[in-house]
Amino acid sequence: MFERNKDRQPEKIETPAPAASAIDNSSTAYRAPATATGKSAILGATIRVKGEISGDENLLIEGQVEGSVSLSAHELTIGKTGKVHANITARTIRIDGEVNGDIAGKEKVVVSSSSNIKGTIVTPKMSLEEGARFKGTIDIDPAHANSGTGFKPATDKPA
Amino acid sequence: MLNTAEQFDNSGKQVLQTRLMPDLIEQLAGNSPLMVFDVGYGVHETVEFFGNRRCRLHFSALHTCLQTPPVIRSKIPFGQLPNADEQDTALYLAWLDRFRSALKFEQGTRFDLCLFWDFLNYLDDQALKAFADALAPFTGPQTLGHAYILLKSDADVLKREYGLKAADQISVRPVNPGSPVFYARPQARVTSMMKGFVVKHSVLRRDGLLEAALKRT
Repeated sequence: MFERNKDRQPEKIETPAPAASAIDNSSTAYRAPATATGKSAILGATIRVKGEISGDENLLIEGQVEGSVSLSAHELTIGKTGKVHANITARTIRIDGEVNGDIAGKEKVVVSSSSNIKGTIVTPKMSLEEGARFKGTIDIDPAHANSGTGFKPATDKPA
Repeated sequence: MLNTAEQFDNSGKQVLQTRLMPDLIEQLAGNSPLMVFDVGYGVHETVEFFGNRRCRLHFSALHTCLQTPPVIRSKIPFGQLPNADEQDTALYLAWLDRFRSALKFEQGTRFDLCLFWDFLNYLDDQALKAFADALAPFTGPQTLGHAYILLKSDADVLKREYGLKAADQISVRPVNPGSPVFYARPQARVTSMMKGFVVKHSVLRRDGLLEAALKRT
């Protein structure tokens, strides 16, 4: 009766899910930093943060954030349940939820049909998905695509 | 000139052919950043179209300003005839205040292209004048515009959302804004109230809309 488990791999150690855990569809516990696995840390739907969020890995926000979010070299996703009242900066940004603040995507910003945005978007590459409707301002400068840092919005022409 | 061109794209979306927009876009080819004012919501097609060049796109969704029009309450005692001019002035000022609140742009902003789509048809005379006056500080001698003007009140061309799919193609989606009040007017009456704009070219469409390319005087 003990034989049948002889080939089973040792179970991974379960750790309590932190406020920022990782997307992992395999149902195994999260260990590696999200940046090393290409996955995203998650700020869960019941989590509320007031203050500054910055980091060196991808992030999915499903909760509420008030303050600022800066992930200059990584991907930021505002999930459908996410409500962000903050200025946000990231390499690429996808918005499925609510954002009230200015949005700076150093490579790309994608806005989906479920989003609700109040603010200005600044990015070299912008995609408004089919069905999405946007009210506000979009600054686009394709010349700054893939240029990393130093991206600045277009300035208004003088009167 | 009568334009009957109308078609559907691969997704079944209606597309209007435009002969006027290509000329407007070509005239603005050297403008960088291109400053675009769109009275409607930003939609997929418009963002994709302008997305390959340096530009600033302002989407104002001004139809939301029209959902509850201002109401002017007469201060004249009951039984006396109201002064029509005073009421018009009060209505104009109420609209002006509303549009100025909606059109708050950075100081020095000058638009190269104004996409009015069919918005002007939903404005009564006072609202139209107020809209033009509120927009005027953000236009300059080189500003161009595009509009669909409703000439016949029985034309079935309302409740639409527009996007610029290509220089010669305008996408159209049906929207449901309730039962909007609309105003059919001759071209000359519209431009007489659009401060500083004149019609450069126009094309009468079979559906009853007059497509107009506008420029500043």
